[in-house]
Amino acid sequence: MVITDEIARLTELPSQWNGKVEIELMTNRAFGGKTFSCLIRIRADVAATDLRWPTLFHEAFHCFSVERNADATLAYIGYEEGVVEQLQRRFRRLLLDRLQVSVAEERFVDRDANSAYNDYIYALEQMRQELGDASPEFYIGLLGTPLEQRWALMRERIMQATQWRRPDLRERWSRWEQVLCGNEVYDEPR
Amino acid sequence: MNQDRYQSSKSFVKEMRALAANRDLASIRFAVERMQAWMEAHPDDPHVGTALEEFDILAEAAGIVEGQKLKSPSAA
Repeated sequence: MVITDEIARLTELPSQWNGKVEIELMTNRAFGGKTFSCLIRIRADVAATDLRWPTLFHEAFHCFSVERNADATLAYIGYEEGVVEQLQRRFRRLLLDRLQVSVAEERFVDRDANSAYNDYIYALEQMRQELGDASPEFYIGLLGTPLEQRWALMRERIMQATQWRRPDLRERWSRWEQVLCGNEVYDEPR
Repeated sequence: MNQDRYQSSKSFVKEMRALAANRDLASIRFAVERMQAWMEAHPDDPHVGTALEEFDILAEAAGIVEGQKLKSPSAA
């Protein structure tokens, strides 16, 4: 509750969380999750370590995502997962401080460096820099935009920018979009 | 997580993304099952552990969309 209250203050968006957290006992499941009924799930062994914090923060940000429906999720998965993971990382220290939790940032280095969402974050960061937007405002803006409109919103904005005349940017932008739709991954080493 | 393990996990997730590319429920569920089997062997794998969250919600979304198609008059 403290987490969602704080995120509501930071994003100025309403929470859709149903107030329930389910503990998943099986260790072959995802670290965490949030269902369309707005139930937050966390694996028991993850909840027992400091990794519960980034996991819970990530899932809590999902609760503020506007119009995250089934169709949009299937089409634009990276525009959701990348946005909430980047917000989690950006506001993690602040949220921990508000919760009066003392955890060294080093505890999260391995999780951050090896997350499957890094491709999405990389693509979003490239787009943000081309658009000249500040972070975290860019990500909060996307979180407050219906999921199925995030792709078009950014596409319209970049098409109005002078750099859109550059063929190399148009090519890279399309690639970033493909990554964010879950159709492509980066093969190059980190 | 060392570089070899990371590359192995990344290749696996890439394969699962390709498997689920059509976004049909059966393919996504199959990918989820394979990822759960992977997690049994590597329960602390941060790459597959986070990707599995994504596939769980894709499976839920595909189930909703396919359920709506079955209920629609045109499908009857």
